[in-house]
Amino acid sequence: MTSLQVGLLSIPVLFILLFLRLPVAFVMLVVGMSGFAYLNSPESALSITAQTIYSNFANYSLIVVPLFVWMGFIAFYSGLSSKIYDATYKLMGSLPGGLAMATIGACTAFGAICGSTTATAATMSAVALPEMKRYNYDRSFSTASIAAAAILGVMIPPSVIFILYGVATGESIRLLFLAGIIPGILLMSLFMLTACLKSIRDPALGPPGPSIPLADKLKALFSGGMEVIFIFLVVIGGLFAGWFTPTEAGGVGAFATLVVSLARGSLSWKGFSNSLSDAIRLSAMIMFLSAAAFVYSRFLAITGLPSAVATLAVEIPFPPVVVIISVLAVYFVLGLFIDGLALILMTTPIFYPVATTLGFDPIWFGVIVVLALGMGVITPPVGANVYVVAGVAGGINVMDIFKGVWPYLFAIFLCIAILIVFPEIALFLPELAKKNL
Amino acid sequence: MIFFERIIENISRRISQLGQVALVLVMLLIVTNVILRLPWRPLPGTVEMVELLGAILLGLGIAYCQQKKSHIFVSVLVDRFPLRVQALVDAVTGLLALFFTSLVARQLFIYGTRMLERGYTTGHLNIPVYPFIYLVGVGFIILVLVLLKDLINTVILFTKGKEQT
Repeated sequence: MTSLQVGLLSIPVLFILLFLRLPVAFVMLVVGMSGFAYLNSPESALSITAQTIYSNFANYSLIVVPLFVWMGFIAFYSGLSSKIYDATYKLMGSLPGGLAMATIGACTAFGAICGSTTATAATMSAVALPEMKRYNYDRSFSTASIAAAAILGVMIPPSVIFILYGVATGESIRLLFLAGIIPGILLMSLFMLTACLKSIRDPALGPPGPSIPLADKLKALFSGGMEVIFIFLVVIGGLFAGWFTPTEAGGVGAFATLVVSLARGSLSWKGFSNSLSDAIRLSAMIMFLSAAAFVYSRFLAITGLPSAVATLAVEIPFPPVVVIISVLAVYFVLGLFIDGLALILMTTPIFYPVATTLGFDPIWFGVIVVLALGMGVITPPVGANVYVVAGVAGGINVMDIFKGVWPYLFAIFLCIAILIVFPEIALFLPELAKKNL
Repeated sequence: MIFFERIIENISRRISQLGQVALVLVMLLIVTNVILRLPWRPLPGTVEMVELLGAILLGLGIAYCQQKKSHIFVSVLVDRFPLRVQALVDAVTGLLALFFTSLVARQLFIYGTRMLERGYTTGHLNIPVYPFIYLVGVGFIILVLVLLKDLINTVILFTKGKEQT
């Protein structure tokens, strides 16, 4: 067998093991190590694996992952989300579908201190669902709104998935974070528009909440929004201005969130201890996954498969945009079954060279891939966010939530289409930052 | 078996708590470094200390992660099988994971010993690196034990056709 054939064969093997319920990290480790041992030697396969694992764990740039993950859990356990929701609720609650729009706004704001969609989904469900129930919101509509809006948690920096894309491709995490901001706001607007239009068409879905005097609105914005704006400005502002590296931003961000939570007296010792234990658990999962993905991609690199696929993509007689749309379709389909974090590490060794060889901006590509993966967390059968929301809501059929998700899915499609036509939307802030540094 | 299970669970949880301390230290180090750097000069050796703490926090967290079943896996297909077939599939894949993880654990100690023999230290503070590689190796040994425990449980499930109580 030629190296290339071994590389090609590794892909069905990978999927078979994956569908046999072996955790993704072990799948990539097993396939990567075996392939490397076959093409090179068992000794070198072992040696490379041990080195890769240690150098992934003891890595200054990668320690940004545990830090941002912990920051998100501190925000989660300290109930910062309820204050955020209070602000957006008072601002928008009186519009048709206003509570759903408030939830979408709150997810965006919470995404600014939390880098995970499931954490955003869990915390916002706990806060927003009881309110929507009180105003007789349709259950399918309210739960679907939260599940979808939680995607904004990864578009707005900090975002673990952007970090992993940066790590896997060597692209700047700083620029990726900046690139997510405007598309994130665009997606938020599209989601809000979706919720509003749906409620205008069928007022029973989301009846307007109580109207609130302007003075109260401003007060709520000031008290609920200030802390989040403070943390976001320190972390992302510092990163944008070049005061610190992403890792430092993670450290400062976790510290600032901790200080804000302690100052508000909202973080108990138990909450603090849970935030740490969850952060270790999740970080170990992500970093083991990333180490295994490195082993797998080093194996793929010696097979020559990534460059062969890239060459094929260039020679294929279709316009580059069609190729990129097909790549996104692959992401969408795989995302139906595989979690985005794992998927991005598994597939970038192959698709990243395709995008760059075709002349697309790698930062822009990262943004639309993350969007395409976002669809996976709200679609059956694996839609993680939907299960999280259903778990918090209790007594709702998962299929009812999936039914409510369709319009939001359309909004994500629209957002991707807009970004394909106007890549500047994603690239504006990164370009600005490059000029300033 | 229950006794063995409890011990493994305890060890994986305890060592992950050391990892938690490491995470807090990483944050404090980074914040101190940023604060000192702005008006004065950076804390010497911050980068390498953070790296070594990273090895502690992730190396010692990896077994706990497996213990809590926090890894990402795809269960849409296997979930549809009868319980005993599920147990059989899990036993086969579990054996595969156990085999490869054991190899990696062993190799980490070989790698650590090589670094010890070469006298490899960090660039600034001259801290020897090998103890930290050994520590990650220890984390992987505990991971192997957790995987072994899970494997035994699936084999029991397969032979008895129900979960042990």
